Amino acid sequence: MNRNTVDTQAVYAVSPDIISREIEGELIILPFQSGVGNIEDDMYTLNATGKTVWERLNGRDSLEEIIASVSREFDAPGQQIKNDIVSLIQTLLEKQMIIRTC
Amino acid sequence: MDRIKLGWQFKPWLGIIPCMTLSHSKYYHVAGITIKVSSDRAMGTETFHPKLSAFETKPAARPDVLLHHHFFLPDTRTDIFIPENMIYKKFSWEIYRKHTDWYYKFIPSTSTDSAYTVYAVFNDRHTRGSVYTTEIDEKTYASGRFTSLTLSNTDKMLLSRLMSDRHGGMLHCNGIKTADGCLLLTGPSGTGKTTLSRMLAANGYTFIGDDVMLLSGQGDRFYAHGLWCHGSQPVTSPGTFPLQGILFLEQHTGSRITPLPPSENRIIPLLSAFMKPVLPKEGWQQSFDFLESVTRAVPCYRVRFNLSGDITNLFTAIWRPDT
Repeated sequence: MNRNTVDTQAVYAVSPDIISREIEGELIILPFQSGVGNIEDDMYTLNATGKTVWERLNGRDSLEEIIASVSREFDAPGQQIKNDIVSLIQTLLEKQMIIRTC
Repeated sequence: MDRIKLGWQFKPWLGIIPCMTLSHSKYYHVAGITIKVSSDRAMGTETFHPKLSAFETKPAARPDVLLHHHFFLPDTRTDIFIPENMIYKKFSWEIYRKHTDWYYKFIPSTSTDSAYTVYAVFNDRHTRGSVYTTEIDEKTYASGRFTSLTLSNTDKMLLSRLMSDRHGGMLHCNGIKTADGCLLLTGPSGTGKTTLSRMLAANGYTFIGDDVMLLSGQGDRFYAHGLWCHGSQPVTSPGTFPLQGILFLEQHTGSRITPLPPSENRIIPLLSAFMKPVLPKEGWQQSFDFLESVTRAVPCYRVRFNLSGDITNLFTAIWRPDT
């Protein structure tokens, strides 16, 4: 399986190669390569839903558990939430901002 | 400071050469930082571009940064300039890191101002640096009008790094001087920063920086500083100015200046304008601290304007012109 393929049974965590800071309610994420922050425009921010998911990437809860937890919190169709979260995780994996821990 | 004074000389191909005073070091001051530039060779009055002369200062007993020019190359066959140590490669620049030192290689392209390959090594804080090149002869060095103290195409990389250690940073913006301080105009390329700067300059304000300005903070006071780097407009200023506001520009059919309260998101456009230094992880905490303090303490505005010039009236109603 491609390591960037999202597995809802998998557990994901924030990569140690990023630094993040919440400023003015925005979560700013800066990926690192070779131990230094890139001077390209590679800073990312997450919207409210994205931030909610990001905060749950603790290396213990499976993605399926996170989807269930977020679905309870947001008033939106379950399948839509699942699709949005899977899409987000896909992007975070591709940009190496998260890692699969198991 | 070493100083070599040449008397009258006779050279067969030039005849009499008038007396010149050359030195092996010069001092520059920018954003509260004193930089001593010394050299294996004598510097002439035209070693550096005239725009840097406004930043030249008298010798300081304890300069903040020591930079030395050498005219040989260190042994580049060592284990420094190898792929495993490379942390950045873009345009004409390669950056390597080994232990705590930083190594730069600048290989000019046809589009850069400087035409010389330059190597440089800096300590971790970039307060001590050595620049190496074999491509600049004595005559060129004495009168080369270099636009960069590092003999490369720009000092932005060095200055942004120095500012990051001093609760400061570098912003992609234009600087406009008012009667009481400075405004910074930011926005993506093509937004109209230069157009608006010229409109304001024609209405009593002073255009003090094109494309880039330095920022620093002390407590809840913030300052903008001019530097010798610029964009397409050769506008520079050695001054330090109280920062009155950061303006995020948008082209629009109408003209309006809207204050952005702290509750309204300002960090995103500020980040877009922030020229990110090359920093290790721990260094970025300092930069985030600085950016956070800017969003808390510096007034920010959204400026929508068209080409009619009406916007200048709105400016004068809020900020007194410089003249």
